[in-house]
Amino acid sequence: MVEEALLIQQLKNSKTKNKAFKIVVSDYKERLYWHIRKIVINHDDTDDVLQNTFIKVFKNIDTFKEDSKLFSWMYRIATNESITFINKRAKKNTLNIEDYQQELVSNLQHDALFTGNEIQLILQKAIATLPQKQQLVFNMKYFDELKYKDISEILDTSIGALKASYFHAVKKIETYIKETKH
Amino acid sequence: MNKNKKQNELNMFSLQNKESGFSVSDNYFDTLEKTVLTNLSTSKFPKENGFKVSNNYFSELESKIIENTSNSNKKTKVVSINKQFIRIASGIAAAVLFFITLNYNTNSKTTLDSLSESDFEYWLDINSLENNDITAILENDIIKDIDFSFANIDDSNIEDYLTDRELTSILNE
Repeated sequence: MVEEALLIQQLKNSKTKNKAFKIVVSDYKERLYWHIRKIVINHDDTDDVLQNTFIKVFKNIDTFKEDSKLFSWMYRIATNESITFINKRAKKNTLNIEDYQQELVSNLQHDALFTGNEIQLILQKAIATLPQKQQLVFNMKYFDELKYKDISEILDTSIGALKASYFHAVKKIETYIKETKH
Repeated sequence: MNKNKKQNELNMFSLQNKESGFSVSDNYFDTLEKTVLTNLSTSKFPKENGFKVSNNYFSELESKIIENTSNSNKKTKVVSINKQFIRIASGIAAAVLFFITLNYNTNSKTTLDSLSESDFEYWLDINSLENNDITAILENDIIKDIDFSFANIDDSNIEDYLTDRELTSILNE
């Protein structure tokens, strides 16, 4: 991977922008895809949000102040795009966001691109019951294995608050799984 | 002598343990217990989430993104015009068209009565209204108009209106 400072410099230079952007897409496409997919659940929607995320990265790179890592900045854009997307969808379906997310995970059983077993499905249903912020923290910490410091940059939240969110999330998921299995 | 040497060694050992140079953040031990218990809980959760993509998705994705960004870059620059100006201009244009239609198109006999049900159905088919549209119209136009009209009613006019109306009819409402 090209050194980040140099990559950012190339992204901000119109002569080297396209070449540097290809490197960014190549390096981050899968990580961003899976991050978005865990929020919007459906593959086609994830594809749309991912395209928008990269277009925003491309168009707004000049506004990137470099006070965080490039990947944290892109994760933040992807997170905002995903949340905006599901909020709009929920509104369009005249549902509140919690009900909309429950509906999304209920449809997973019939999704050809979801091959999870029973416990994986229960875990997704449990995550969908959490408040939005706890969902994000849980997914980033548990599945993406990001450090609290990185999550703190992405969500602009203190590490202490993130830890508290994660502990609460795990506790709720554990309770949900126990109640569902018995 | 030997006893003194042994005591000195003990003192040194104790000092080394107390001042090892290692340190932790202030609140480390406060959250350690919760961290251990949380890790114990998550060890029972599945590590895979079950989401999949088609085999060639990621290989095709890159070129699709590059194409999209280059397309978005090629778009003709649009000069930003104040939205309010567009609304006023389109309102004037509509009024002018309406005036011309009324005055010069007297042969046309299209009225609401002359439209058939199928005409309405066709219009609804090609102009589907969504809840969001209705909300947007209510928020942007009607509600503002109502606010505007109330804001322009003088207190004296309200008093006149109330005086003119019979008290009983208000009470009955």
